[in-house]
Formats: sequence, structure tokens, C-alpha cells
Amino acid sequence: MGIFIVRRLGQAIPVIFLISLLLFFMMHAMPGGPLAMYVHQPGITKAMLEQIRIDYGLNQGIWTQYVDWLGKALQGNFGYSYVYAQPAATMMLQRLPATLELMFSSFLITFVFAFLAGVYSAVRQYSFGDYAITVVSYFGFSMPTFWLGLMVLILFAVHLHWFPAGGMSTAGAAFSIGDRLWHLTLPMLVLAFYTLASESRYVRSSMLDVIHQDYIRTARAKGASERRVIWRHALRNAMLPVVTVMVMDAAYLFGGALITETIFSWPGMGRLFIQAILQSDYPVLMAIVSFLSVVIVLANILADVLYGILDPRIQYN
Amino acid sequence: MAARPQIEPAPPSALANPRFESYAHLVWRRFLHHRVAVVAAIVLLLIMLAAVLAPWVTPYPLGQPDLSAILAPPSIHHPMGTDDLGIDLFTEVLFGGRVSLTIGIFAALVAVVVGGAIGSISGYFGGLVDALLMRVTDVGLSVPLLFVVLLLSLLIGPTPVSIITIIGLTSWMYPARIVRSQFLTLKKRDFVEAARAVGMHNTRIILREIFPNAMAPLIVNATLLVGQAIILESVMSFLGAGLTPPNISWGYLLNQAQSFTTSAPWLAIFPGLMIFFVVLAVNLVGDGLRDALDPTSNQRQ
Amino acid sequence: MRDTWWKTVLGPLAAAGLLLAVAAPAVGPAGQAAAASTGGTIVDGLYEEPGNLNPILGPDMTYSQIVDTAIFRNLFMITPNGTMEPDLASVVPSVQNGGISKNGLSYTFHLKQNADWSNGQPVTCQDIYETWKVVTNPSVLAVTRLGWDDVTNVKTISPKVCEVDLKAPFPAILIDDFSGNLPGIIPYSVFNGMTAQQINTASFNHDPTVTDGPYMFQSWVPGASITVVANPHWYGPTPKEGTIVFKVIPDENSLLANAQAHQINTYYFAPIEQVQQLKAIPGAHVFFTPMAAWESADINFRNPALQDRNVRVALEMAIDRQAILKKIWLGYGVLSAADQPPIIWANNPKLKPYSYDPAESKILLNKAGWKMGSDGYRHKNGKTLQLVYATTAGNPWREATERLVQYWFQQIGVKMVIHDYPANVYFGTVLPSGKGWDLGEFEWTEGYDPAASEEQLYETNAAQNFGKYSNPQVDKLLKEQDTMLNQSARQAVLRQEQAILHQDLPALWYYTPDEIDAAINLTGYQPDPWYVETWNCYDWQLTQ
Repeated sequence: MGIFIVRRLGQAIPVIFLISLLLFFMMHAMPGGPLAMYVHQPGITKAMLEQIRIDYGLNQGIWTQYVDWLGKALQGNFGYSYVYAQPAATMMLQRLPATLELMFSSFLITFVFAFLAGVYSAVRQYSFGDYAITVVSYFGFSMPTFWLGLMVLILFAVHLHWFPAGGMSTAGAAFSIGDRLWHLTLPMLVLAFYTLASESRYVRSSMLDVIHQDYIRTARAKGASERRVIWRHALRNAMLPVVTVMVMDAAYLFGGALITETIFSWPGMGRLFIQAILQSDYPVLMAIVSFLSVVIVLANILADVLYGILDPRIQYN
Repeated sequence: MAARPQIEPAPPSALANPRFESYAHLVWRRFLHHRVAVVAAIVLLLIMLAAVLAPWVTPYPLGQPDLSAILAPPSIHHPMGTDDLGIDLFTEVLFGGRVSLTIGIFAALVAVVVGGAIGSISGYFGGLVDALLMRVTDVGLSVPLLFVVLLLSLLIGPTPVSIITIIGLTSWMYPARIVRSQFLTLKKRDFVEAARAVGMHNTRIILREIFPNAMAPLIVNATLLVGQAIILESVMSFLGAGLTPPNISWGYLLNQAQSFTTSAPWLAIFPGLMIFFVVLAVNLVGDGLRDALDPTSNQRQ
Repeated sequence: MRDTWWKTVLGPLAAAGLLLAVAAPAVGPAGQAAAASTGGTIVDGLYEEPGNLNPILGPDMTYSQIVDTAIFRNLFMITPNGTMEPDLASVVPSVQNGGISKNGLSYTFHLKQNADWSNGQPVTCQDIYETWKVVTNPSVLAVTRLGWDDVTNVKTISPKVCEVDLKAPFPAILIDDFSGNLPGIIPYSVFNGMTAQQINTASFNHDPTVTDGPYMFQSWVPGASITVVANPHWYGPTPKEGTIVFKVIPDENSLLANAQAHQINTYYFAPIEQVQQLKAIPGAHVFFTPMAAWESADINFRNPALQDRNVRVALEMAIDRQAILKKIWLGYGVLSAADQPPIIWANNPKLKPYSYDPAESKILLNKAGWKMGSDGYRHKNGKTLQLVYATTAGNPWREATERLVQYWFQQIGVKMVIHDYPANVYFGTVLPSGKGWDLGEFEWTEGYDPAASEEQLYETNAAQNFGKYSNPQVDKLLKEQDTMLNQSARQAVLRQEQAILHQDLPALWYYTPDEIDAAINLTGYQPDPWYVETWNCYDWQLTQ
């Protein structure tokens, strides 16, 4: 296993380089460009736009620009944001805690409830409970996130006044864990519900695959308790596709909780990311993409390691 | 239907059955036993039919504004209400269904076929092939979805075909990894060894022995992809990369509904419900299909 | 036995869930459950986060200006009724009081004796001098150089009296450079000696420690909020509330929810779709302010079909602009006859908007040679009359306009294809390239002298003349008024120019919508079409 991990980490390096190269070129291929926000300026002339272009280093050949960026990035310098004039890496790191907070808490809930709902659904296949969970899951998944999030916001913050209407903490108040948890509750639940809806389906489906196998009957015949049968024997073998999806979902959450972040005014990386895309803020874009690619690559290595643990028959040659 | 006791579960090598025609008949009959799946299939067909027949079924012509009935709640004249131009929502939902159902189903198909192929080859052969394909998958996952979708749409232009291609080609990574994980474990089973010992070609083994058993999570994924594709189109609309009138879709309607979520909730509810029904129906049909193909599964009599 | 496993697990979990739901409201700060009592803290909802808080650095963002204006002031400001008043300066210079030389090449500014920076040091000519040096530095990413480019010298006559010399008369310079922010005035003490690179990336841009406005900067939580507190060194009336928190809420539905939950006190640029709901909030006052802006659809003269004036008039008359204003904008706006709206002095009151007359449109199109075909659309020389209509994505009222125009054009036999783009792409690539659009709708906001807008939009080969419109008569008139110092003389010339634009239709003239703002539980709030809302933030006071 140790050699496997080392080998995978070795493979990861060219992959991350390739991703950065691909993204760099795609970024420059996107119409619009960072100069778009200057085009509207009163008194702007073509000469001034050209000067801005030079100031941003955009007048050089694209390969030169990439090599330049790469050299600096390897030293941790991701340049300055075109919009905020702040170091791109700093900006990303500033948003990271908010994203991690939201991610971890919602993922925890998703993890627990996806298994509970999925297992129950599979064990009680075709029962009313199964159909109820199925309907609720698909409802949660199909109703657009902006709608669900907004409904939750309006019900709990505007009508019931139980929770604040967004933000990470109360404006102007001192830091308190209680305050932060209070603000975290709604966005966390909305995000969890959405991911939960899809993941419980995978759990259910995998469990169904396994639960009718004969070795399960054998285990029951041998006298194992139902709980043991389900959780010990069945679940373990059913886990592989579930692990796949959960690991990818978790990695995706880093940059993907965009709508939840927007509705609940949560200053996370998802919002920074879409902003950077729409404003063609190249340095910030590249910083975030570099970070995300490392996360994804590591996540998939983790998933492969987990496969090996869950099913000892799996070998990587 | 009791299965014969065995040490290792024997998957159905049913597709290898020479009497394929009667097997298909068998599957069909088993599917029909699944009342819920049948109902779901009928509902799905009805929705598709309504969408196809939209020009004849809808009470109003598409895109006809009625500035005297702006944002009207559902009523006899307008069963689903009207939007901010007084255009009948029911009409738009039906016409939109043509586009969205097409996009949803085909994009999901493209993703699942491409992903399934890559995942099977990767999981089955392992080694260098696996490493290479999975690294490509890593790259695919790292490239931010919205970014690629926006870029491609801006470069190619938003037509239903280009959107299907774009969504399909950016969604194959999940099915690929899911199928691969199944193959990693399944290829070690005895029945695969047996098949090899008999001299079966790799392609046959992949397609006929292993794949039917790897299908279950793939079906779940395909179902979810249908919904995701439709909603992704909505996000594209919001960014300005989606379809535009008169080519409306449920995604376009959802995007429009955002500004009226509280003042005219029906604008979001009805398209949302349609997506819900379609996704649910596709799933139930998929469930039924999976059970019909697998004779050892627990079936309701 | 078989059935109990899930009961034993779900039981405690359900109890935990119930506990959480009950405890959660109690976990929050006491007293927060009811309508938020801000007690001395005004909360402003910002739809966008400012890029930076430097009064002269780009990009030009309205939301940067809003926060800037709470903490930075300029020599003058323009009040809601359109008059210029001294702010940092003690008097408005004119030819009559000798503040402006007769040839318009020299301005004398008198700064208020008690105008100080928040570090206690006085605002002096050195700050104006430094601003000039920094703005005109080609490597500084300044928001604009218009006006400052013409300055040849900034002379200190005494610390509080400056003389600014121009190389050519520029009557709009007081409005363009010395009123408001972006561009504003920066502190010499901070920027003296900095290179362009240092200025572009200075920590001051995110931590403006030296300011001269009613409030001063306290903190900025990235992506979330900016907090400012009352500035004791401010020379004007003491701010009525001690703190303003600018909260970033990047979603209009969330802004509305926050307003309804009384968690924000101001809501800038509320969308028209939310007006009814905003009005229904207890304690809310919704303001409708005529804007110095106009919405129109630029004509792309590269399309030969559009070069025929008959076609342009036909298109204009096929659009029921009055209906758009009444139904979509609920009447909050005014129809346009040309570009300048009525609140601007260059507007020509004699011009009347084109009427809605699709029958006339058909006649004009026939006259232009476009005959109706069997497919419902018009053809000429084998070509179909098809136009691509482009605008920014994500605006529900623009989308509504597009669909209506598509329908109305269809009635007169014109085929219209809608193509929307993200704003960045639209303004950065699509419009300037001239490709992929025949009609390009957008809104032009004028915060400054009208002549600058005209010159940027309608002069031949001007920077924002995206459609390649060209009329030598218009060019001549604009050059003429450029050097006139007398406003009524300029007005006569600009009105002539407006009349030509009305006739020529370089763009389909639509309307000027009102600006919609809401103040919740707040008195003293007054929108200003010539400035930004925080112009009198020292007057804002919370009510309960």
C-alpha cells in the first residue's frame, strides 16, 4: 500500500501540471478578458487600454506568460488579482476557512443520514418508507437549489425569525461560537440535504445489490443478528461506489457550493471562483484551479486507497 | 423465486443465452410485474407525448405575450399561471419539455456511455491503462464545470446539440469512476475466472459477464444526470450561455423564475415539479429494469 | 429482533435532531430572534463587494464608490437638486468670483481650514498635487485620466489655496475630477514616494487608514462585510450613528429576505420585480429617483439593412416602449426621444419620442424594399430581414424586453434572434468587435458632464461607438461646445446635437428607468442621481 501511494503521488505531479497548462490556455481562450471592466471608463483610449494590458503582462506571448506564471506559482506567488489588487493566493486562503466550515459540517450530516436513509430504504425495499424516502430524495434533488435554499431562508429567517438571514456572523458583534453555529445552521442543512438526496440513492442501490446475495443468507443462517448482518457484512461490500461518489462530492464541494453560498451570503471559495470566471480575473482563477486540482487528485488517491481497505481482493498492479 | 445455494453468487450470464429473443420477452414480463415501474414508465411516456404534441395541445401559441395578464396566478384560463409578460406557463412548460427531455436524456446517455466505457476498460485491465485513463479523469474532474461549459458555449454557440455534447462530455467522470470501482472488485470473482478459463474474449467478459452486475449504481447515476443536465442548462441560461427564445427549455424557465421566486412562486414550482416527475419516473423505471434483468433480486409478486 | 436495529439508532438521532431544533434559536445572541436592533449600527446591503477602497484606482465599480463616499470626500459634491456645493473646498470657483480664469485655463481652489485627514493632518494642496501625479502615471491602474490629463501644473499658493492649470479649457473638469470619488483625492502622506507597482498593490487599497470623510475605515472581512466608524476629525455635521456595516449579499432574493427580516437598513438598486414586496415591509420607504442614464439598443451600422433610416425608424415604431415602461417598469421611468434624459440640462424638451405605430413600420419597410414573404418574414434581394439582438444575461427586465421585441418584430415581418452574454464578455468582446450583434441593448450611466458621454458614444470612431455610427455634423457640434465655458451656449449646441440623434437613430431609443432604493427603519436617507447614496450618510438615523 505504501508503494502504491508513493507511485500515485508521483503520477499526480504531471497531472497537476497538465491541468494548470490546460486551464491557462482555456482561460485565455475565453472571450471577454480582464480589460472588459476598463472599456466603459470615461475618457478611455486605445492607448490606455494597451498600457493596462502591458501592466498586466498580457502583451507577451501566451507560452511566455504561462512559463512566467508557473515559475512564480511554484514559489507560492500566484500574482495579484486584477479586481482586488491583492495577492491571489491570500484571497483564496481568506475564503478557505468559511468553505471548510460549511463543507465539513454539511458533509458530516450527509454522511450519517445518507447511510441511515439508504440502508433503511434497501432493507425495507418497496415498503412505504422506501418510497417516501425515494420521493423526498428526488424532490430535494430536483427542486433547484436556489429555490430550496431560498424557501428555507424565507421560512426560518424571515417568517419564524429562528435564524439569521445569511452571513457568517452578526454584523459588528464580537466573535462567539454560538453566533457562528447559529449562522451556519441553515446553509449547512440546505447543502447537506442536496448532497444527501443523491448519496442515499447510491447507498440504497449498492445495498440492494448486495443484500440478496447468498452469503448474506448464509450469515443469517449462521445466527448473526440482523444488525450485524446489515452493517457488518452487507454494507462493507456495498461501499465501493458509495465511497467513489462521496469522495468526489466532497472534493467538488470546495468550489461548488456556489448557490448555497450566494443565497446565504457565505463568503466561501465557490463565490470567489465564479466571480473570477465572470470577471476574467486570471490570477485568482489560476490560484483556485491549482488548489482544486490538487484536492481532486488527492481525493481520488484516497478513494483508491479506501477501495483497497474495503475489499482486500482489489489489487493495483 | 428461490435461487440455488452457491458459495459465490452467480450473476446472470443471461445475455449469453442463445435464445436471446425469449430472454428479452422474459425481461419484459418481469418488468411488467413491477407495478410501480410500469406506472412510472407510463407517466414518462405521457410527459414525452405531451411535449411532442405541444403545438397541438397547448391552448396558446408559444411566446405570445398578454400584457393585461402579467404574473397571473394559476386559474382556469392559465392552468399554470403566467410569467412577467403574460405568456402562458403551461404552454411554455410543454414546449420546454421537448428541449429539456431531449437534453436531459441524451446528455445523460452520452455521459454514461462514455464514462461507462472508460470505467470498464480502466477497471478491467488495470495497470498502465488504468493509470492513464484515471489520470485523464482526474484532469476532467479538476477542470471546473461551469468554466468549461461557459467557454464551450461561448465558442460554439448554444444549440440543443451543442449543449447535449457539452454537458455529456463534462459529466462522464462520475460514471467512469463508479463503473471502475465495480469492475475492480468484480473482476476478481470466480465467475470471471471461469469465463477466462473457458477462453472467453475480454470484450465479451466485460460486456456480458461483469457489466450487468456493475450496472446498478450506473443507473442511479444516469437518473441523477438527467436532472442535473436540465438544471445545468438553467445555470447556463443565467450566465448567458443557454438557449434563448423561441428555443425555451425548463432550464430557461427556472432561470426566469429566480427573480419571481416569492412574488410568483408558480414560475419556479411547475418547471421544478416537471423535473422532479421526470427524474423520479426515470429512476423508478431504472429500478424496475435493474430488477427485471437480475433474476436473483427480491421481487414483489 | 429484525426490526429493532433501526429503531435503536433512529430513536436517539431523532431526539438529537429535536434538541437541535429547539436549542438553536437559544444558541444565538440574546435578543436577536426579533427584528434586529442595530443600536447605533446601520447595516447596508451591498449586492457586490468592492474591489478596493482606493478613491482613484480602477476598476470602476458603483459599490466601491458607495463605500468610498462614506470615508473619502472630494473638493465639491453635487446635491440631489443638481447644484454643486463645496465639500472639502470652502467655495465653488467660477468666472464671476475669480476662481476660474476668463480663458478657462486656470482654477483656484480654497480648501476648508478645518478639513483634516483622519490622522489629524490637514487636507492641503499637496494632496491634490499627489493625486495629479499618481493618476497621470501611465503604469498606475487609475479609473480614468479624463481631465487630469489636461492639467499642466498644481501650484501651492498657500497650504489651503491651490492653483490648477490646464493646457486647454475643460469646463467639465469640476464635475469629472473634483466631485465625488473614482476619481477622488488621495492622501499625500500615504502615497508620496511610492512607485506605480507599489501604488497598485498597496495595503492602503484594502486598509484605508487615512481618510477624510464622515466615517473612517475599521475592518474588512473578505467576501462578507466592511465596517466603518464615525470619524472624529470630520469637519461636517457629526454622524448620527456611530457605525455603518456594509454587508455583502450577492443575491437579490437574499437582499429582499434580509430587508423583510429587518436585518439591513438600505437596499441599493432594488430590482423592479421586488417593488411591491418592498413597499409592503413595515418601516420601509421605497425611493424612485430619475436617473442620469438611458436604456437603448445600439444599431450596428455594419449591417447594410440598418444603414437605411427607414428601417431604423420602422424598428423603433414597432416597439411599444410605453407599454414596456408601464407594464414592466410599473410606470417608474420616462420615455426617451433621444439619449439625454430630462434631468440633464443637455436634454432637448422639444423632441418627442417616436410613437408606437406598427402599421407605419410596415409601410416604411415596404418603402425600403423589404417585401413580405410567404414564411412570414420580409425579404430583399434574396436575403431575409433577420437581426441578432444582444444584451447582458441575468437581467429579467432585459429578457422581458427582448421577448416582447421579438414578438413585435415578428408582427411586422422581421426575424429576431436573441443572443445574451455575460456582462464581461458582452462589453469586453462582443460589442467592441462589432460581430455577432445587430442590435445591442445596454444602459449608459452618466455621472458627469453630458458632453463626455456624447463624445464617447456618438462621435465618429469614438471609444464606445460600437455600432460605427458616423455623422460629421454631430462631430462638428461636439467639437464646438468643447471649449465653450458658458453653459447656456453649450446647451444650445448640445440640444441641436440631440435633435440630430433623434432623427438619425444611432440607437433605438427606449427609456430611462427610475433608480429604486429602499431604506428600512432609517431616516435621513436621500438618493442622489448625481452622486451615490452615501453622500449624506452622516444624516442617517435609525428608527425602530
